[in-house]
Amino acid sequence: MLGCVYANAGSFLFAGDNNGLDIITHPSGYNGSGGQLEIEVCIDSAAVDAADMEVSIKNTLRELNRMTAVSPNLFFGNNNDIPSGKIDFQSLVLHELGHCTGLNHPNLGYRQGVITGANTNLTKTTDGANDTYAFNAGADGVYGSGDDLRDDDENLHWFVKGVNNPFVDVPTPEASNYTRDLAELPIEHNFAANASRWVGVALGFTDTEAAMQQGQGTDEDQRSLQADDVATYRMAMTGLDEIAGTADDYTFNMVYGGIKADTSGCDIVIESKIIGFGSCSVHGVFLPAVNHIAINQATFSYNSDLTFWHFNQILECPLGIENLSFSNLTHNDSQNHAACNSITYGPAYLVAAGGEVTATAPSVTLNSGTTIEGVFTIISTMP
Amino acid sequence: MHNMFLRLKKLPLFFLLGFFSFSASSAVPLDQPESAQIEFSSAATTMLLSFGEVNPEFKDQDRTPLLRVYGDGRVLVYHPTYSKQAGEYEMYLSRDALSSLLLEVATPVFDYDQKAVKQQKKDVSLKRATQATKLSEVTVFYQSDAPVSVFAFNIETFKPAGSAKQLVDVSTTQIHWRGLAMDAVNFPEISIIQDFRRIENRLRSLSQSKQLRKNGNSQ
Repeated sequence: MLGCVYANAGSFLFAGDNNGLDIITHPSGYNGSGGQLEIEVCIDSAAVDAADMEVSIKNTLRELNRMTAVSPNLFFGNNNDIPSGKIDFQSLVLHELGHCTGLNHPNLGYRQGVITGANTNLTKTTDGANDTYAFNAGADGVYGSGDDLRDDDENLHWFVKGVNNPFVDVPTPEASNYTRDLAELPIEHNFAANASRWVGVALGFTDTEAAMQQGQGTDEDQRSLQADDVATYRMAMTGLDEIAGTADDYTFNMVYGGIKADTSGCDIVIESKIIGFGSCSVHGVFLPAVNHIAINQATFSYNSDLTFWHFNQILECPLGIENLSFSNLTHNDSQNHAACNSITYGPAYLVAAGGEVTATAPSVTLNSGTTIEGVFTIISTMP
Repeated sequence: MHNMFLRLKKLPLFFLLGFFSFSASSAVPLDQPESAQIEFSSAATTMLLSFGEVNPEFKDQDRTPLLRVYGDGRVLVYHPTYSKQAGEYEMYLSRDALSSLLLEVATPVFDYDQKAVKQQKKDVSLKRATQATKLSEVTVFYQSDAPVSVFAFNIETFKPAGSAKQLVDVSTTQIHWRGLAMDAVNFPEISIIQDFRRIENRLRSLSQSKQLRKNGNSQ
């Protein structure tokens, strides 16, 4: 898994007192067999902003398919294209599709009359045997950091044994090294840290936060996954045995299914309502293994009666081609190769005399066994 | 106008998880004690009922209630500046209509017990699980970032129909219900959930009444 960033994982939907603290939730289509899941996301044609939201949806599916952590991933003011006072729809889509594919908030989140203000940034837990949440940010005063004091609240946030930093790379997450057990925290740590922006600042990562952190404000671009998000997904992708590299491991490919009147065949449906803000409603079933649930129905709803939505209209990969590779091939004519992510050449690739190749991609790699006799031009940018 | 007097015990009111079934009852005179009865302030400054929604994912939400009903029958509807219907709207209910509305809302609240409703949901879920013949038939559901329905009531006395129990000094009580709509879909057999969903729909419908006039213009 070269290029992947592993860190503490977050928490999963359905984990808690009712279903079990160790629940891992998988996206639609996973039944315990390994491989690649195709997850189709459709827009209900009755949705008010169906046409306007297409770019945001496509960009977000691309982001989820890339499954790559980004830091910083928070952009404000002049560092984004969101008009002042507007809320970025694409950022909402990333957060809610995270729920639709099994992720929960890594933080406690808001609960009317119970969890408000800074307490919402404490790490995700149950309220414990005493049915009362413990609110104590510890000596550093940073809510959600490793020195929080949470009494008997039961931790739902996964982390790497001996490591409590949801912002850094760590080895492949799997049951042998990932846990919710607070006894596996580093010495002097009291609780699992979550990837809130304030914990990030305390740990030296500015403008970085888990996309699954609850709470979205105006003029915020958060269109990319963070290390904690990616790790949570990776943990789920180890499958029922929770061991990486075995037959039940899976990946997923999010596919845009278009604007449809009949969404019955879609795994995730996007609809509009005139109440609420944005949410994902899911149904799931237990899989034939303890502590595993697979989503079998997911609907992302947003409130179309609100005037502050910013619908991004810049498609990130208009070509629709992420990666290209050429090997065991000879080009002796004029060729234009373009991809949104990478192009690799070789082994056994030849640009013959008289041939002219132009490669346009953020990353172009010439592997050993690549021979250039003609003209070869690299343009290191998004086509 | 009918007088409705009954001294009733203070009612603990929680609305987070319950959905009540009840039918609207009109105010009736004391010589028909089997009917529901209610007493409330008629002061213009006394807010008898409010309803709104809190969205946890939205940091900068204006949490002014969507609907407020006052003792003189005034109905005030508020849509925040970022709503397509932005602004304040109002109308007036007659005394009878106000009584009817309050009775409709108060009746389900009367017997509400948050812990009992929570247990009902657990019992139903457990029953469904035990009736399943295989694990894959056990369905779970969840709504992330679900809106929280917030109800507040301020009723002086209330006696439900056919009941000898009386409530007195029913002070202002807030009830919060997270994911009420989804609960109503997933627990059709729990009457209290269905009743609360009906209350919510009733109040939302009132907030869209064609009799409402913007900026306080009366009809």
